[in-house]
Amino acid sequence: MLATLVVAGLVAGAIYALVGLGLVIIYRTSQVVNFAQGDVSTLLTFVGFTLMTQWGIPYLAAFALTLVIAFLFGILVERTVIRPVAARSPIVAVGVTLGVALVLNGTSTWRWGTQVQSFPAPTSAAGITVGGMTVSGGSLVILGALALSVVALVTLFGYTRIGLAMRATSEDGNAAELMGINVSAISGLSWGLAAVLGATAGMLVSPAITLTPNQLDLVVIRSFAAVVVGGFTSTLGAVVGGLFIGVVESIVAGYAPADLTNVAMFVIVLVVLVFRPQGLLAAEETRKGLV
Amino acid sequence: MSKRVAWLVVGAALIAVFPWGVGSYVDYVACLALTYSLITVSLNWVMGYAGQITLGQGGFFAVGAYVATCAVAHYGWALPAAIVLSAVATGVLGLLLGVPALRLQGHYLALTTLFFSLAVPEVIMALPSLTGGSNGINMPGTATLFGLHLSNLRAAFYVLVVLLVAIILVDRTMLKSKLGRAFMAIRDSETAAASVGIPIAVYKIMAFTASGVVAGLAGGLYAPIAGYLNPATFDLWLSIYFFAALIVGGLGNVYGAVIGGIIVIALPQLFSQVQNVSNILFGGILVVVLLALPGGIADWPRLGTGVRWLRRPR
Repeated sequence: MLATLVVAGLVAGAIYALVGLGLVIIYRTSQVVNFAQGDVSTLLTFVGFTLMTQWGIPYLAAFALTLVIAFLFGILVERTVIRPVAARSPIVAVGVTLGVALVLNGTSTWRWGTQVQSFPAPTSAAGITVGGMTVSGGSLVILGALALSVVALVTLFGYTRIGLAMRATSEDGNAAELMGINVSAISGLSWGLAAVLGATAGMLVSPAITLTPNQLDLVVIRSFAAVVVGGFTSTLGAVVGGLFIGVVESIVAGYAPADLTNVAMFVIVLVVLVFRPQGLLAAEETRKGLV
Repeated sequence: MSKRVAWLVVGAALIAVFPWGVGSYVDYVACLALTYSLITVSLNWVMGYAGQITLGQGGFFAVGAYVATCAVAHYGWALPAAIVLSAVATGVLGLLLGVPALRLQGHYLALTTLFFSLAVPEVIMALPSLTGGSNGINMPGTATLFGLHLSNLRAAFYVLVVLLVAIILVDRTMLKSKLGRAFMAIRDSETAAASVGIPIAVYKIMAFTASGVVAGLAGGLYAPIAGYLNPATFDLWLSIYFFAALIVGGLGNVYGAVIGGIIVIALPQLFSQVQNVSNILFGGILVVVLLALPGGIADWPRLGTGVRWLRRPR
């Protein structure tokens, strides 16, 4: 029982980690917590859904095309509404991302309706059986996508000039600008990457949980908890936090007498933020939102 | 002065005849709008005056409504006592939620309070013997507020108007007092506030407690007006609507808070023909207000002054 719950939790956690990576990338370069991440992911997942089921584009091609659209869409959102307010107070930043969330949620509902859609699965493979537990093909794809994303991001941040510029921006935006880095382009790039990660997570999780305009909101709420646990500035933290939250959720859902997942999330978030506000895996933050 | 009195008389007369001029459905919508306005006004104390971001108002509203209903339905309390109990319960919750606010700011406080609002309906669902779980719970029709049946929407309308006016007067008085000035000092600079001897911790907790009390009162009054509660009403979006309503109406402006509460209820009614288009409109208004009119709709004479932001290079 416990082992099965842990495995299921890790798969769910991989989704939270994917979304959480996007939240971290955005926070590091623009110090904004993106409350619209859930609805960005939902809208893009619906775009992928339309490409696959209505336009008849093959799965992989539609998936790739959606990621391209996601990248451009992320940049568009950053450029039009986030950039003008990013330097203002957190209330304004939270307000703008919530406004974007409302607009995108309304758009998804208006265009695709509230009926439950079944999203195509990436694979019909049966998966593998380890020690009596079956891990489905879809779950393996999710874990693989997380691994691939982590490798890609580590390569980007650690071994490319753009990655170096992103790290410099998150370290100190003003100093980076003085060194000739185009900080606002970096900010746009990070919103694009976050949208790609969100769309990936949305399209991979939707076959399992079905697709409605509000379905991904709870997924993204878990990702917020994941990022709080791991630390808003830590890439590794988002992964570890995501997997941790996935496992906790799975165990709480398996053993608690009622669905108390959000209560568990509230307690975890409260405890982590009050006792170790920078998260478990991030270095201490000296300003920006923390006392 | 006499002109002002004349306006007040005209306004009061319009409000007094309003419930008779419209159908009972509009009466219900008006009661909802007044309830939301009360909550937005209470949110303004924490966000607009004390400068602390919170998405916890939906949680307070839910607790207030459920405490009043359970006290009447299960324990036979009189409605006025039950509503007072609601306000006490949410006041205590506000006090508790104010404690993490001593350590957290900005996005972190927004997230913590958002998780609080998400946890409340789950706790309600987890206590079906008390709250009816997903089946919901009915407020007994026999409950009266000093002889008034609040399921009579005209009566409810006047009760809510009187309460809202009273809360606005409290707001005005507070704003001119030491308390209000301390809130705004904390909002503008915690360091400066602390350096002139303002006990930040005490005032932050007071802001959250007072805000909780008023949101709980609104919840307690909502219970007999609605007559039936269901945890699904108090979802993720509710707290986001309150937050957005305050900013659209005017952060830091009590009349803006009232306007915001009315808009957030009126918009879906006006555009009920097109599915969910009100969310697109409301989110769009929220973004436009933040970009172009930081003082909200209550600050409309200065429309466009914020647009410079769009042109200002980063």
